[in-house]
Amino acid sequence: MSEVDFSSDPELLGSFIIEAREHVEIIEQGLLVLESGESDLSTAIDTLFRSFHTIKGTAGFLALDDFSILAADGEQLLEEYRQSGEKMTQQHIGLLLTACDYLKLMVGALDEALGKGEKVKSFKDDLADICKQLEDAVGPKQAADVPAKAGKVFVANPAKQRAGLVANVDDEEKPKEASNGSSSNGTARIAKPSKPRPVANDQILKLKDETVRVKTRVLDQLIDTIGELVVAEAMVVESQHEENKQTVDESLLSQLTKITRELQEIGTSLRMVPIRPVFRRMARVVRDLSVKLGRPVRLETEGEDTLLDKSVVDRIGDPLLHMVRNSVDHGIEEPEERHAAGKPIEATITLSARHRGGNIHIEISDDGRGIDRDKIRARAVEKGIIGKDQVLNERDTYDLLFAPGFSTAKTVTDVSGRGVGMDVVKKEIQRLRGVVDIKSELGAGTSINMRLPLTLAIIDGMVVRVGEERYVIPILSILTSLQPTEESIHMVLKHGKMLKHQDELLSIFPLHDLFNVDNACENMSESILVILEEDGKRAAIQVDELLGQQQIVIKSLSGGAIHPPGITGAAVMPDGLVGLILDVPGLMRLAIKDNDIGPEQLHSEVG
Amino acid sequence: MSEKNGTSKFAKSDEMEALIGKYLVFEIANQEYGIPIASVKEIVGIMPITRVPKVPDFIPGVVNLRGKIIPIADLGMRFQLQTYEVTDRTCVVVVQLPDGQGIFGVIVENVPEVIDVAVEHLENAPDMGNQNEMRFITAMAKWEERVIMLLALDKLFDTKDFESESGNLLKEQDGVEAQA
Repeated sequence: MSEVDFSSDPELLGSFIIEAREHVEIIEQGLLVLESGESDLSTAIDTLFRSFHTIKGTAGFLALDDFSILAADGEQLLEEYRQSGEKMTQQHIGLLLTACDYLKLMVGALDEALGKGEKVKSFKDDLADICKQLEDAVGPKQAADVPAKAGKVFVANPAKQRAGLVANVDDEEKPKEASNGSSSNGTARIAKPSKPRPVANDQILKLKDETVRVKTRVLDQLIDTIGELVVAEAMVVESQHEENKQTVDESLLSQLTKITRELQEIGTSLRMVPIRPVFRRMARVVRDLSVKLGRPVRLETEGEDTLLDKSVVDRIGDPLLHMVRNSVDHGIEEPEERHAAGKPIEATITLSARHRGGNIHIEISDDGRGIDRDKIRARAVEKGIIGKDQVLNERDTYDLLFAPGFSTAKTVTDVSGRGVGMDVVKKEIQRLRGVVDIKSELGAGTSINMRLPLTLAIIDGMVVRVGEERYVIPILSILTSLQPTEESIHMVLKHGKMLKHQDELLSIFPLHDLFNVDNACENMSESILVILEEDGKRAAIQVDELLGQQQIVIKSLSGGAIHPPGITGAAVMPDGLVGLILDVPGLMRLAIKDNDIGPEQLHSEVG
Repeated sequence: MSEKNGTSKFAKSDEMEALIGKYLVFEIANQEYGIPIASVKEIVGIMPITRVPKVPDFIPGVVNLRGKIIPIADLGMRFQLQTYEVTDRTCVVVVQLPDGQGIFGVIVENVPEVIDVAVEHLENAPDMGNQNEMRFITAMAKWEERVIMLLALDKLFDTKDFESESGNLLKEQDGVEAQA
């Protein structure tokens, strides 16, 4: 009977899936907040209760028995805490988290089955264990109120003890779930005196803000259309200045301009979402790993409300997950080691997000053992990545961590070290047009900083002219621009013309040479040099003229059908024509023709 | 042509079956070509093209199609015949490539028409010495005294294919003219 036939009402099931996902998220977050003890108990439990209750109700209506049974069991356990007003035990939090995982799994399976139009498989057998444990957890308490008063804290394995009270215990207790809480409690998961932090509850409530769900595709269409409107508006305003044209009332026109701007801003903000869900996922990961490895870890987050483009939020999760895992697995020491080093036994990992300039900075830092640079060096020499006598500065050394297949971990654990390394992280970050930086102090901790663009859709650009063509240079890459004097230009053997800029000699690359532009200004002293900086390297690009600064909506060149090197995308300019946006790293590579980079690599990196 | 016995020269009938249907027919360099109507998104007038550097010479650049940037293909150059001339009949056929390869605008020299190709119209592409350009042709259709080349869109815009070409083009790119 748990096999569900979707022919009945796929739409209803679709909305159940979306709703259930939200509730699962609320539950998970709520449990983690409860565990941290930083919350008003009753409100948090109420929120959890409501979510379980809603899932139970809707699932019951849709005859999704697996869901309703599991949710009912969870609800019942919560109901008990609701009435007693006690602090929830670690073990019960662990149980509810497991239940939450099952819900997540089942939602996923349901979604998949719905997509394929198949029947969803029954989870009945999988759920037997967890349901039993949940029921057991409730059972004795209802019978007598004794355990509640006897010990607020943890019985070694209460589920097992209580199991004896209930008939029909066929299979042995799996200590997996049961030990979830207790093992870490044993060490040092001391509940902090609960400082009231209303913030945590607000966060839960915020998830319930009223929203309308819109398909991403429709949203993108809307944003595209707004873009067209902006262009059309610019053309109308432009035509106003032409002679022999019918004129429009100035005030009407300025109103049109104002509304268009407003619409454009709204359009942009539609795609911006807080980074919170990603951080929450990490909170769960840290919690599970800390239990598993027996290393008490506290995750602190800052700037959860920082907004960034949905496409960035969607893609930042995996690299971040990898780094968080690394941090707990390799960064944090064993409790004894921490104790010996005079550090607090509970380690702290901080995840922070903040806006700075046109970028978002996401930082993950821990107070673990730090990175041993000598070890990296030794490993790199051993692997033949560097020569024995090669001198490396700090940055270069850490860069080695991003080399494919590089790992200094002594043992491969099932947490990290499964061959997917930091190189994947770096690639993904680069794909998001971001950069990663590692800072570390031996014995004191490591922090990894990612700098990402706020959105993949909009940049501040400098529009330049070369011959009859226009190009857009991302402002972030521009150090400065200047009109060179005769004295500042030097001829250097094998490098051609170079610019002396603040005691530094920079190579000059005429854009018209790189891109074969006709009718460009050949005379250096009549043109403009734009000094670009990327990844610590600097170069001067020669253009004819700076046309002005502008916000640019980046568009891809037709779903990646063509990938010209040195071009990252295109934009519709105010006159309705297309302007190409320069890919500064790609351009630098094109210009410098770095020996390390072969043409194949160039293509793949540009594409 | 093998019309007398009612079959075409195609060995496999399913291969032939796959080719029948409606085609959009247009003219490039005085030759008629057809593409499956299902891959055509729309037909628009020619618009100003922005040159893109470092791409194969059959891609004169990109245009702004109502907010979407799409690359333009000059098939005359792709077939190594001649480049297009803009007249008042010049159009852009916007095609959706198979397997998410993207969208291309194909410049054509006349306003296209639609024909319905049946089995009896089909004939194998001629096996000519010039293999290089013939690989873009899946078959020919004989239609009312006209010979229409049916194009293989996937081969025409195979990115791997022309990316290797653009590798050579990195050095000599002067042939492409700038457009306003």
